[in-house]
Amino acid sequence: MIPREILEKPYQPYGDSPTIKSYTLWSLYDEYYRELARGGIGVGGDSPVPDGYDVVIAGTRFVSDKINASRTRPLGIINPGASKPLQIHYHLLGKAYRLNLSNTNIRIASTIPDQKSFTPQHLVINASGKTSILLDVIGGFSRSLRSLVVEVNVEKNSLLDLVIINRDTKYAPSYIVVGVRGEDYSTIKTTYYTRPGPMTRLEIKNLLDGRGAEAYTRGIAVSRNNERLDNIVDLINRGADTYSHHLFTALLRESSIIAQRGTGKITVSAVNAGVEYYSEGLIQSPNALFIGQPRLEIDTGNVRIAKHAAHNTHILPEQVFYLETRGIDKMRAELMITEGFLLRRIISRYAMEIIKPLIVGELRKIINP
Amino acid sequence: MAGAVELSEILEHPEYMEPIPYKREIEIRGRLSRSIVEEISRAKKEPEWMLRLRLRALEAFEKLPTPKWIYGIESIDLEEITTYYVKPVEKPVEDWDKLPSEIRSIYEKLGLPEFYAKYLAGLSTVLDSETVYSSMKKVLEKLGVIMIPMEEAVKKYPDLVKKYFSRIYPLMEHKFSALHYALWSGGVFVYVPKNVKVPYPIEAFFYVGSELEGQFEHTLIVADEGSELTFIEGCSAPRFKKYSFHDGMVELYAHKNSRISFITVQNWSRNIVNFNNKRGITEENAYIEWLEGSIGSKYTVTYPSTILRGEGSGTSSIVVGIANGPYIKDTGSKVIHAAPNTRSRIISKSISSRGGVNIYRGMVQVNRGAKYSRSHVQCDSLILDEKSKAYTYPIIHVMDNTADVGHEATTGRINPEQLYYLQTRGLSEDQAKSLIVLGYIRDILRGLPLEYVAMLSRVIQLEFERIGGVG
Repeated sequence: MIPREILEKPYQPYGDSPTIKSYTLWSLYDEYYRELARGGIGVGGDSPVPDGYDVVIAGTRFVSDKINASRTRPLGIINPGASKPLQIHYHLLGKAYRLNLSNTNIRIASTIPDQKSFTPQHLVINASGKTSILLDVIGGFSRSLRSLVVEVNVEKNSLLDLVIINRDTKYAPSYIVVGVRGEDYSTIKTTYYTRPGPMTRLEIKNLLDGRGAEAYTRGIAVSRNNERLDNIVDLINRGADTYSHHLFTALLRESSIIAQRGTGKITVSAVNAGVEYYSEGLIQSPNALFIGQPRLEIDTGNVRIAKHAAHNTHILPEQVFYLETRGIDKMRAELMITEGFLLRRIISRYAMEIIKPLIVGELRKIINP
Repeated sequence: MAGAVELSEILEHPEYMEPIPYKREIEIRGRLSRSIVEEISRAKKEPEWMLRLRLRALEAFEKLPTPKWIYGIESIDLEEITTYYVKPVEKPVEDWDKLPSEIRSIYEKLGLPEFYAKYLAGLSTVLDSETVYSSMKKVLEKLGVIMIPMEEAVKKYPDLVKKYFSRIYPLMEHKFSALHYALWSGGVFVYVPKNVKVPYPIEAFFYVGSELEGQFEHTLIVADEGSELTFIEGCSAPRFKKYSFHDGMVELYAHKNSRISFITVQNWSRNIVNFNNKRGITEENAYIEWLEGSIGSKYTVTYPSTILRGEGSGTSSIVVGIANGPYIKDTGSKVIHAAPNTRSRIISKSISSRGGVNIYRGMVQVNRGAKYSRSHVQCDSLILDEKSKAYTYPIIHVMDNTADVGHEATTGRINPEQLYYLQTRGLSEDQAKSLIVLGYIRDILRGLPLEYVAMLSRVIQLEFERIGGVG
């Protein structure tokens, strides 16, 4: 089913440091691929269709009574050979579903079958005008390995407000890739919130091809227990006068591990472009681990701004003391600081409305587990 | 001192000198093999344990893969290197007049005898593979400081050398460290006894005299409790038609409460491929300071690294890389915090022009239990034209939740407003650019002895005045 040459390939042909390799649980993916190769598990299958969504990708099925989707080929924003899981995804993928969205607000859910299987899901979206998309990636009790690829093309002069909620659970690993390409003078706001599973790889790729295009990416992660997140965000500026900005904040508790990495790149053609990349981890356990690897690749001297920073931090006693002097007890003070850390600088009001309750709920669970 | 030239002139025009032929006592050539390694060891009359270490390293070199992540590694063909060991003189001398006249003229052209007399406490010069001159002022001898060629130390102080040699930088670390240990030759061994503070810097000067040659010098510095030392490493080479390969190593061991400042002023000619392996270990409250000025060479790979093993110890690493022309500078720094209350600071400044590529690679690792460790990494790149490139690849790896670790990087060009401001004060555009560049790399100049500051400022100024029209 899967050619031997793909199965024997390393997960990353380049780029992964030994540090990353030692903390990412590739063996969980391998378990599925080996069983797939043996015929022990199947591809896809049916899965539940939750209420309240305009579109549901249920397993490999497209369900919507509002929007028609056409079957299509992948758009090409994501390189099929970039990693081993992607090669397997493209090898086993039947067809992608295509949505044409214009001046609309749409809620999309992705669910996977409960039984152990491999579920490739591929969505191609063309957005024009002002479009908001909520992509809710639901884990539930499923034991299926999700391989979700979403490719979005944002047309000239358009605005896309994309919110991704990833709710992986402890039952299965997942591999999620979102690629967004911006045409001339388009604006892309991507906000993602993730609760990783035993091994979650979440890749976001912004390609600013058009002149004057802008992309703002804001990532938030909360991880507990033994959850592992490998989050890669690449900001590729290829058009002149483009600008991209990324901020990632993560809360790490118990024995969780988060690696946040990626490249801010300005190519030779991106004259007067700018890129800013920031990544911060708030560690609340001696056993948690945050690995920050923001990279910059600047191929031209004609650059407007190119900055990156990574920082790991913890709650400072001074911060808690200040709030305590205002009559707030220690526990509440620490929660306020954490909430402020996770929710700061979310520039999309739409995203804030969706993500804030999730974060608050998550923090409540920490007080009353 | 007929035909003497100021050191600054050599540094500003590394291609200034044509190779000077000289008579060699021994020259070992051919394809790298076990017999070559055995021949080098025999020529040096080494003890058995050192030969065994060399052979172990050769085995590791053959087994270890070539690191693929190194930018442009495919352009380096180690098979081309044919000269592994050159012995210019029977044994090192302490008096310039005892050197053969053609070798003496190399150093006189570099102005080193004069420099030693005026500013240094000790000087060791390595020509191709061997130390040819080694001298230390009497005052240091009285204090018990040891500064001798590495080969001599292996024979004279075997126990002391065995305790540290290859213990700081393991031979299995990577392919080029293994190659170094198989072929090492030349270099300096320095031991500073307890509570001795060496008042002036000690310098080692490395010179590659011929093309398609490998230079593998090994420097080992041990600072005993409470001692202090500043060590300067200078590198140069004349112009060759083909390239030469430098794979040097520096091992530093800073005992409790000691301090080592290690300064490198590297201005190899533009056909030297320069791999430099540098690592230090600090014990309790000790401090290691790396200062690296990388101006010349075709291709440089160097990441001074420190393992902070003792509580309260610290390190700083200031690296300046200038890639002026189609050259690659792959520099950076690594720090491992392995004890509580340790601190580190890494500052990297790079300037790329005329198609130059600057790459920063750095790693800060805080081990579990290294409570309240602090680290700050700042990495700035200046690109002066559209053809040049700057890449930044940091790794932060924190396993202790009380640690405070941060990394910041910026890449930019010369601000037109700064340029305009200086021009309104009567400076030409070229002068203004040079001044801005000098201000940009002031951190490295701040740590150097005054004479070096004046000389380096001039070198860098001239380097950038030559490219003044670009940017």
